[in-house]
Amino acid sequence: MLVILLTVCSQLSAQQPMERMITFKGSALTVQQFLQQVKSQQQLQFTFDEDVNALLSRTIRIRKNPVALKEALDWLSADASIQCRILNNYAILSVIPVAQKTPPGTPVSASMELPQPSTKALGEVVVTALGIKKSERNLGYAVTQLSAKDVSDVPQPNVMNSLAARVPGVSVRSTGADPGSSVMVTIRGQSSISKDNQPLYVVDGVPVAPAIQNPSQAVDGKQTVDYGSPISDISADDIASITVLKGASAAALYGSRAGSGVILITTKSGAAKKGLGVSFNSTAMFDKAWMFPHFQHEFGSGDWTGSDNTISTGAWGPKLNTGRKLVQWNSPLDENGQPVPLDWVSHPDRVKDFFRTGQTFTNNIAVSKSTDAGNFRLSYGNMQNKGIVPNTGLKRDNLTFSGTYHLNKSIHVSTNLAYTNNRSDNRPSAYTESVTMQVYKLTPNVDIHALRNYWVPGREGLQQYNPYSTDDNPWLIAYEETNSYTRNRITGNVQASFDIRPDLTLMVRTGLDYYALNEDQRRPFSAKRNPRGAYVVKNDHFKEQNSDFLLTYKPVIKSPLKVSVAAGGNRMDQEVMTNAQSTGILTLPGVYNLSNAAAGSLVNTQSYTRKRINSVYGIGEVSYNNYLFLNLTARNDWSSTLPKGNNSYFYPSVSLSAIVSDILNIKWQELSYLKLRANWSQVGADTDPYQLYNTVPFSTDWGSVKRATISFNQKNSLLKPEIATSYEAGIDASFFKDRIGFNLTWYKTNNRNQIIQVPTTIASGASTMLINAGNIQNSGWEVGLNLVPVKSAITWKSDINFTRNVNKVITLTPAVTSYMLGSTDGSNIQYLIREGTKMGDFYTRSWVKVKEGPYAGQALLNSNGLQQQDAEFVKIGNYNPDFMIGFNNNLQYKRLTLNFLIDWRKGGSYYSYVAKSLIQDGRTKNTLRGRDAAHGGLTWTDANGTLRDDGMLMEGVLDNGDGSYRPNDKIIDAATYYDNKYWKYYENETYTATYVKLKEVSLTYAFNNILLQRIPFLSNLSLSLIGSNLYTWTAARNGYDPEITMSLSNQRYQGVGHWTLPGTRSYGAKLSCNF
Amino acid sequence: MKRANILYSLLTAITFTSCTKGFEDINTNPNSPSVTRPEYHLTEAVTQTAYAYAENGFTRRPAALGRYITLIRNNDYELFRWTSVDWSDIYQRAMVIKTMQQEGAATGQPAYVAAGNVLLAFNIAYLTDLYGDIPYSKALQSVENGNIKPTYDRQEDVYKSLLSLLKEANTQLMTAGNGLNASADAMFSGDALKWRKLANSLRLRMLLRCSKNYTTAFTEMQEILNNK
Repeated sequence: MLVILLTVCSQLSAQQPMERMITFKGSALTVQQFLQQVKSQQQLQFTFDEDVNALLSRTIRIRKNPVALKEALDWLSADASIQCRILNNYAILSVIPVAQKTPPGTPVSASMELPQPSTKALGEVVVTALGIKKSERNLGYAVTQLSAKDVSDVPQPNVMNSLAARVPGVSVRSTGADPGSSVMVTIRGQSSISKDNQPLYVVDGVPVAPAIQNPSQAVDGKQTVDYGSPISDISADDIASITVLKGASAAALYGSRAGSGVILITTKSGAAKKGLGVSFNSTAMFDKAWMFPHFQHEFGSGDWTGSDNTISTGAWGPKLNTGRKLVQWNSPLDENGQPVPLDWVSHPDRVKDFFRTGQTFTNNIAVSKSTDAGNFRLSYGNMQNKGIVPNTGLKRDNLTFSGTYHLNKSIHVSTNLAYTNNRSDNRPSAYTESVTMQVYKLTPNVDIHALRNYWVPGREGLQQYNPYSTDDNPWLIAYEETNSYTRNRITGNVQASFDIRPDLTLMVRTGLDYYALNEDQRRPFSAKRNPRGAYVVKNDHFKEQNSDFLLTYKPVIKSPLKVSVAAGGNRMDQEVMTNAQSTGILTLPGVYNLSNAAAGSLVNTQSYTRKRINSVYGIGEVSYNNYLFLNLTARNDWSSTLPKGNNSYFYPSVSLSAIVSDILNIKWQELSYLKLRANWSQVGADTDPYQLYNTVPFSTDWGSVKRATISFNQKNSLLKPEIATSYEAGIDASFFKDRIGFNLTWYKTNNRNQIIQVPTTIASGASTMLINAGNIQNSGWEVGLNLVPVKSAITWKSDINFTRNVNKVITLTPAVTSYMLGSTDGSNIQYLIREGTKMGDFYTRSWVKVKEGPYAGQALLNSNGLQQQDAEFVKIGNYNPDFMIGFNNNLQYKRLTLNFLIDWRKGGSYYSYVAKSLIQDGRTKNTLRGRDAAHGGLTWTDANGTLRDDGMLMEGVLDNGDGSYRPNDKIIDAATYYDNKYWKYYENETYTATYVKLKEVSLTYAFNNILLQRIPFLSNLSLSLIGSNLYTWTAARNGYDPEITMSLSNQRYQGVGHWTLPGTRSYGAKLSCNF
Repeated sequence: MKRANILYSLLTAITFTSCTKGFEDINTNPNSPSVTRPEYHLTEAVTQTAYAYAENGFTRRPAALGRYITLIRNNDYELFRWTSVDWSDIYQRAMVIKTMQQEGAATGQPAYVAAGNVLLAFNIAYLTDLYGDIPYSKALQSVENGNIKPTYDRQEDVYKSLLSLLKEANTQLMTAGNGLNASADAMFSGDALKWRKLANSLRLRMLLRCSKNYTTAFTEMQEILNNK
């Protein structure tokens, strides 16, 4: 409701200054101030010297502006304390005092004096844990709330993308360029070694499915598919607000699952507007791939520039576009069976031409009605996407209903129900052997269009047509290696609240989140990994039920010291079921049915897990004079996953907020608001189900005989809960009547007793053991600046936020000093956690260097003039940024609004397997140097006595054998140079991840309602031009988008770029209106 | 006050009676059993041992090292770099065998203990031949007593220990060798005599290998030959 009020207010304030002012019994104040004061009556001292009847005639005059005011009036009319009418050119608001507050006839003092507090001082209302709405001023922790506008201005298919650069302390990373990609949200750094560090999502008070799912790896074990995060099922058009609870204190009431923060999503309800309302939004977005590695188009297929073999996967071959004809991959055979040479020309658009323009159309219509007895909102949304990879896409339908009904004055029932269907005939794949890899790896002389008919004529369905037998035709991957899915999801809750007494309310609620995900992955005959085809069917079921109650007691106390308490409980039951059948050999081509599996090739997997957490919690709030607030929370969880005796854990939190400006009664023009806040909390966490005792898994059958192995990951029946302790302190201030707002937060969190699987020696009978260990510390700063640099005909509002998180591994365990979080590229890149280092560090082996003397630090080459690999793993980077800055701007001129959002991430690095692979095969521009004399190649004679001009010298020195060194003089060919320098030396393809993105832009024109009066029913028509990721600047300038550079294998590895789709920019238009 | 009392007792009831009720049931893994039958482990141990042995013989370590085969690539196997593949595989198989023996003992099927000793000796002997000194006497005890840092035994002691294990296995097989599930025994179809022959041949091979340093090697060989 507040959101709408604020929207209204901001619209009002956009008018001429004169029109923004109103007069209330001699006091000049802005409409905004007035409205807010009316709403938060705690600030407004209604003291009158007249009787109630006289008050009715008291009016406020607002100069004419019926259009913008109408909305305000509509809203205000829903509030019993305000009456309004429109008379000719004037709007008249009449204030009716609420009976209880000023009983009729109560003699009261003199005329009304309205202070002019800043809007900050009044405090925005934010949704906090358990859905409790609180004024921002009494929170002892940093909290960020996004409005509907923030998420719907440039609606993102995955709404979590809208959080990027808007919330200090929060890192948002889309895991791919496709609009259906999952989004990783990390709040205040990675703190858990074994968990995914993703926040808990709570929709309308009910926790929902984990936001991130591991990518699905098809039967071939190479290509991976991201079926998207369940959180993306929520349509941006249905969101009323998103609150990010960052610290442990804010989230303490959500218990063990809130270790990585909580994101509270409140959906729109019908209560906002009296009467019947229909709203319609339509968006069209187009995605264009534009960030490609810098491919070379000068040299074709071959082993070296003079090579005879011009059918090679390497692009080290002869120079292109010289008028020559050479034998190529698609040379037809002459009558003697000899390949016919063809024009040796480059196809510079071979990569670009494969990707098409992606399209996303989103439509949403919502009907709402509010009456005295209740309200409802019914919304239907439809999203249709065609991906940039041919034959890929995503369709989504969502239907949501929310309703409230007042059974009588004290019993209210409400419900939120949502059904979402996501489906796709084919999702783009990532990782090794995906389309990206096959397209990027085409040599410059290959015409992508010549591959379009991907079957060998006459052998359709049996044999693919591909340039190199080692690689799949990218069109075959797109059209035949499909990864389809359907996800049907139902979420909902029913809630009843009872006003037992005016000061005592009881809420009971139960909520359900259920989805069924059916995946279907197909591989045709002649696919590289599955020459006889493959087929996988997988069904996942997820169910989570939360039932809770909350009893709130808010006594009416007439002293400045106020107390309120609440107590509640929650039971969470979670069930996850997976069922999969797969075959790596089909009997007949093109028949995708499990019955077509070759005899004995069918593999079944099944798993079922279940978990329960019971909780009780209590909240206490003490406030003094509305400027000093002490909030206490306590929660105890009992988790089924921990052993008896250790399965109960308690977590307390204390937070304090002091409005210093009120305490000291500061009434300066310069400083309108100053708040200090601090908190401490402790949060426990459990683990996954079945981590206490080992079981005996069956392995694959040996013919008709069963086999059973054992699990070498030793479980632990003595596990203890994890404990995170956190401190936070901050300042909120507002200067010059809210022209400058400032907030600063410092925090420190220590996660101890983490439940991790540490490696042991298999000689002990187990290769890993589950133990409690570690202390990971995250500390950091968050700064927010809200500026209004220009406030005249043009209003410019600018929000800047700064995030810096510093991670430190304080201890692991005495037995384990180095822990491998993961590895990639055949364990050549290792994510190691060592005491005193940071999470996110990655290590690899470097090359041997001269230790001392004049050549110290230079590469010590072997006798062939090549680099040699060192044995030790050394740190080469960390994938976390040093800091992040979000810069959000809003410019308004009359009916035109321009918004733009810039996301700047500084520091961090990533290793690119893609870069390495493309360099090794000579596909990118950075491999041109030295290829021929024109490119600086040295003249040399190779082992066969051929005189060549592609000689190069590896940087480094040679050992003279007597302890002295000399600069390298061993000439090698260009291909060997690049292969030696880049293939094994990962730091050479490790780049800085710094980037600046123009994340979102929208230019909106709001039509004048007067003009629209000619069209009955229609109102609030607005049209926007929108764009997202329009431009990305990267410090590495190598054609890779650092945000989406990651490895999507069986997990998501940050800091490593494996074959993912190229970076895209999206632009489009949005139309919204009400009826 | 009365109302508060009711609420309080309600809260207490919810809190303390049902907070952990049914937890053990909920947290019992339904996906795989906690104990199984020894014959399933026997098939696993026999087939995995055979596959690894055959693979090594044809395409990997000793074959490549001895240049019976050439891998051309100058890879680890040809450069005396064993890597940890066999190390891990053999200890894993040894642990499966140990689990089988425990299950056999617990269910009164001593034949599995006996056959297990033969398989264990086969695998551990191969391991010590590859790596020399290895953890043996204190190995595989993580589950029993939490020893995750087993000490190394000298190869000589491992050999001695395995020789007596094989001797013991022969005796066990003689007295209680019947009872192996014939279809689960992928190697000998439950024929105890064949297992005894394997135990004794293995012992002979080991004795032959250490005969230069093991004074009683030939006496023991004779003993085996006399064993009927």
